[in-house]
Amino acid sequence: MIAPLKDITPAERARGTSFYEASARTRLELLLDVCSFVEFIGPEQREVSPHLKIFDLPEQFDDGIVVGHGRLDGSPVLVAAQEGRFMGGAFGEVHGAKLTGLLRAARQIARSPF
Amino acid sequence: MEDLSFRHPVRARASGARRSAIVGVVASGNLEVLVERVLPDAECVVDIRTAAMGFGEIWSAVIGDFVEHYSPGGLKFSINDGGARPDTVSLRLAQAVRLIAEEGQ
Repeated sequence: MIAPLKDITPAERARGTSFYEASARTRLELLLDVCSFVEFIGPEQREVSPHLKIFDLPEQFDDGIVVGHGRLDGSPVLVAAQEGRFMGGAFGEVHGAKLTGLLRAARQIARSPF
Repeated sequence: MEDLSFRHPVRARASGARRSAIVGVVASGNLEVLVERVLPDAECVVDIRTAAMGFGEIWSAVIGDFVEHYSPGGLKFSINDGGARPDTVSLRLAQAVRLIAEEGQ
């Protein structure tokens, strides 16, 4: 019998999941410490690409990238995961802005003393 | 692109306390479902943006079945569809209801 999903530990789930096939969101969930991830500009804010509509193409609520902060073995980290299946992995304005914003934040945090 | 919207009265409130959840990816034959707990307990709304034109009747049947089976009261579903088949749509909707019922943010 297969155990219900909630009875499986994150480590077991990570071992049993193909990171090659997993979505960007699932990869972050399995990489980071449990429940430590906080997303910046999440899908509920609907910051979609301003260009896809012009080409009559479907949008994605997170524009194909997940950025935020979390903990990795207890250490604070900034993280990004790109969704390779949306638009064949190509990325546009909002996707790019989220990634560069995250990198700039990382640079600023590195400069400021704790 | 085609926009569709369905509003259903629902028997019971969906379980769980999470405010929102998202499943799936917008790709060929796939879709994403963003679900948010923002409605009165006896209502359910499904907003769809789909790349496949002219399948309103099939969407209506799939959403009707889903609401009947899962009773997702209080939930608003927003769907971006890349031309998914009805079985994939049903699966993603079911995953969304399960995810928002889980513990977490």
